Amino acid sequence: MNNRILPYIQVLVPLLLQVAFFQYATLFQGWWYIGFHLLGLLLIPLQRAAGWVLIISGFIGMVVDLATFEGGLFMSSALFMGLFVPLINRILAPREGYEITDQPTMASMGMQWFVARTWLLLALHHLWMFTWEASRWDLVLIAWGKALTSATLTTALFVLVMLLVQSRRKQR
Amino acid sequence: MRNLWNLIAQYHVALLFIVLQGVALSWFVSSHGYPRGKWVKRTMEWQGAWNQTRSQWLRLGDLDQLNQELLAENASLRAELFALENGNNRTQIGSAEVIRSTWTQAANFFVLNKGLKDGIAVGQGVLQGSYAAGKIIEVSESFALGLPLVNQEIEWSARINAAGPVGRLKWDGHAIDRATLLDIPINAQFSPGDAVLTSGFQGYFPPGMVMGHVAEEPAEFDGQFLSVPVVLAADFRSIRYVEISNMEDRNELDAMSSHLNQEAP
Repeated sequence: MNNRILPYIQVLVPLLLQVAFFQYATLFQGWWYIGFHLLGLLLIPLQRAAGWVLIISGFIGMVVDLATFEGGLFMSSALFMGLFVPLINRILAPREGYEITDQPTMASMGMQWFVARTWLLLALHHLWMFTWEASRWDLVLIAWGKALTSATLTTALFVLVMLLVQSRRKQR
Repeated sequence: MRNLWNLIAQYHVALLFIVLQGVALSWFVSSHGYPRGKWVKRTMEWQGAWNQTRSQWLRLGDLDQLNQELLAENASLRAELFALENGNNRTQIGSAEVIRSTWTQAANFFVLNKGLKDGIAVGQGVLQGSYAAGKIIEVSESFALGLPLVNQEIEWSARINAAGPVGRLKWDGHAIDRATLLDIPINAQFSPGDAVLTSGFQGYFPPGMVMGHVAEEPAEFDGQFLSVPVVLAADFRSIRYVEISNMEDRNELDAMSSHLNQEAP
């Protein structure tokens, strides 16, 4: 596939899947929320400027909000996550820094890097989102529990998805 | 201007985040019942607290003006009261504010914020509320200098009760709220708590203004007269707003007594 189009597809496909299929997927009585559109956010190229990451995050969140009538909650959470993408990238950067060809995928950066980055960013996203959704101090501990559980299970899901996608690419 | 652009360029990510997050959260708060209710409630609390604080500040600002108006009204009502009680309207009462005052010296004084242009004249009496407090001794265009009862260099004509004996009230320079009524005959009938009133003889005050009351301590006998300890009514430590009594026929009376070349006790 054309390398210039691939980043857009990587963002748009998870977004479409979230809107079409996963928007009502809340499993285990709310303890696992699948935010599939966040995979697209995680796959934004490492070299993308922080401002662009924010704008793309806001756009992705806004589309999900419009589709689910959640009124700003996903946009706000995606923006919060997008703010931390450059920081987490910097923290997890290899000693010699990123190569120009490095991609935020398991194939490019390894499973450990991918899992750590995915879990940290998803945890930040979910903590922000569930806290706002709870909006009450007496519910906030349960909300944080759900956020961390969802982040862990969604990280596992994304690892599986990446393994599947990568294996297909390898076959190709 | 260039510095501003540099600043914006340096922090553009943070600014972009704040703007977009503001949009998202506004959208969220306006579309969710519970956060909207919480937000409205919080906003109302803040607005209420701010309005209350603002109102208190405004009231404090108006307090001085209000005090002046009340003082003027008090003075006017007191003058009417005198006229009704004494059957004449020869005493005019005005108002003023004490802008400088001492109470720790032997020769204490005070300065008022009104002078000749306000109708203040030498010899007028100064009241704190309904209590005699001093007299005017010097007047400039805008200010007046006065001596309080607590001044060792001056004596005041006073009597015990409305029809009691007249004596000289003098401050001994010690306690700010104590004075002594001198030259009271030994056969005078009085008891602690009896009012010590202005006699009206000096022309500073109309007769019957409260100066203090007879103290609990026993009167001293000097061989001829009694020296009666008096608790002063006016509070010279907190004196601020005062009234000025102007007896219209004072000059005429002074002129008559000057022929005899003697001062009233």
